Amino acid sequence: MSPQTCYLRTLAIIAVVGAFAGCELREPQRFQFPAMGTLVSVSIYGAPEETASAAVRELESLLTELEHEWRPTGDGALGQANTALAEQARATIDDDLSLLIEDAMALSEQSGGLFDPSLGELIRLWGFDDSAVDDHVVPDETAIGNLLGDTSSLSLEENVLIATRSGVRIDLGAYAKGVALKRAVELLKAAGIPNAIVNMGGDLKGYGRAGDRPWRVGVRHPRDSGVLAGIELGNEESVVTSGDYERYFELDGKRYHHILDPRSGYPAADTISVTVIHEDAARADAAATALFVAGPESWPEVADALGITHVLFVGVDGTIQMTTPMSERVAFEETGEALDIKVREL
Amino acid sequence: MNTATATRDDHLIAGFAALAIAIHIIESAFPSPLPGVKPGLANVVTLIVLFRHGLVPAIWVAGLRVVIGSLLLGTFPGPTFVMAFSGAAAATAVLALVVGARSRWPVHGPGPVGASVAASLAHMSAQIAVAYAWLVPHSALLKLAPILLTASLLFGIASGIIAQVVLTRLSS
Amino acid sequence: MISRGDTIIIAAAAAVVVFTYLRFWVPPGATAERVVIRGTEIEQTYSLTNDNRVEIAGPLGKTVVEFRDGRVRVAESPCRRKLCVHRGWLERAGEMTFCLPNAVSVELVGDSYYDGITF
Repeated sequence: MSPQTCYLRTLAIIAVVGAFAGCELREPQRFQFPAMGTLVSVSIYGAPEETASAAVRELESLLTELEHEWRPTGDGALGQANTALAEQARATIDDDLSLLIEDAMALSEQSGGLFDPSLGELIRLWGFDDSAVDDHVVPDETAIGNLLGDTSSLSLEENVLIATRSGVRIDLGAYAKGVALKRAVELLKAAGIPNAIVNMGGDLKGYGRAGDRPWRVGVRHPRDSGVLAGIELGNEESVVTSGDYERYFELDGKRYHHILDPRSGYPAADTISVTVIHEDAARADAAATALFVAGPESWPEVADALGITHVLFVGVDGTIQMTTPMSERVAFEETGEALDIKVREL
Repeated sequence: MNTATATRDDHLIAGFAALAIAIHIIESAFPSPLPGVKPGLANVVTLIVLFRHGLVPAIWVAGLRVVIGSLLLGTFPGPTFVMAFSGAAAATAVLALVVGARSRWPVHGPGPVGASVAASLAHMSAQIAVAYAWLVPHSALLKLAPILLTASLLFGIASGIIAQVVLTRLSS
Repeated sequence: MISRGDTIIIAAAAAVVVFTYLRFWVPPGATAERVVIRGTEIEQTYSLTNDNRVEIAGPLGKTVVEFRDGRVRVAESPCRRKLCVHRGWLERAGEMTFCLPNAVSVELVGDSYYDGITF
């Protein structure tokens, strides 16, 4: 072998080794933009940069449109429906919104009314809608009482919404994020993205993998900064958390957060956070809210009714409860903190 | 060099060192894409002296270049000088090994290109090590190591080829 | 022209370079979230979201780091050659610049381990 061929061969081997090493080490591409009233971030693996950024631009315009359509106020589809409900107690809505509300109502029924999409007026009374007041007050007790009803206060037939009492306003809340996550994933797949995870303000859905590893999601510690536990996401899974720290105000040392119990009209008091894994992000979102409201005793029944098997529940006393399938999926971070963890069967 | 009069070697070293210093200073006037990366064309002069006149004159040329160059640029005796000096010292040590290999295997031993690549990588590695140990002990610096070493490999090959071409011309 | 010895040295050198890529290389590209600024005695992390100016004292004097529109740069440096200033704006995780004479480094980092946080 002449020195020249030896030299070329060596270079070729190094190039091949380098290329393989490069593949393994490549990190997902990340994108961020504001939409749906929160910060949306998208991580994409295994797509050329132009394809990825084109898909993300497309996603951004879809989410901007959905945000407009599904906002409880304004001139989008839901905003108009709410205006019509307030004025005539009935509203004619388009097919898309109709399907969305129909699904939300079905989930509400399965949750025993703990997830309730018709709480818009109550949410507004507490100042947790997007009108964002600075100085919150605890609303008057009778004002809250006047807004309480049962889920049958709303009916939907043939694209016509009917409110059976006054003061019904639809606020899809986190459920809208769940539906948007589903659609975001559909869009990315259609745009030819082989692997992606979308984070919509703390609610995530992923598909595929980040190269040689699954997508990794950290569950935020509900009281400290940092991560409580890690979850490796399976294909098509979504993970969703409802926490009392997302939107709240404090008055006289008491925390009032945005997850309201439809039975009392007050923030659900016994829960800090609920994390749920399920393929259907919208169901996961509705369930996280419902289980949060259900509280440390009765969440397993609600989870069972909603078909949710993976639950991580943090009670107001800091104790952690998990379903068996969830306990097999989470890895708690080593923080030196002693955790009080209980595994419960559904 | 034990007499007061300048020997032939002294003239030779002075001339080559002056050339190396000139290249060194011209090079430092150009902006660099990354701190620490420059072609190092002054090393071509060191290589030529090494292969025509031997190791000792080459060490003199490299040493004078670093000290006088940094005096002229005003970096003596600051961190930039220490970096340049440690790089040059490591490069010289490696060049001594290369010269040893060359005298043992006159045909297959390393020539200017091999010498240049070895010296260039030794130079950069020493600078990274000194910077990490002394100036900026942050992992961030190590993350730059691959890029810095890639640049030094490419520039080392380039300098080596230039030196080889010049040496061939000079001997013909 | 190229001897066997040259070939061996180039191959060894290339192997060293490949090794450093395997060991140390962090590809830029991820969206940066935080800025880590390190000086002789301090190490501090800043959010990229707020526009800001930070002064770091080093052996030569003050290095000024400027944050604007999710990017960061060294705006002023007491060093002679100002390579750190010439590096310009940094905006992706993994990007960094440093000033050796004043012993200051500025590095952009993203969320390293998790692809997202649920909250």
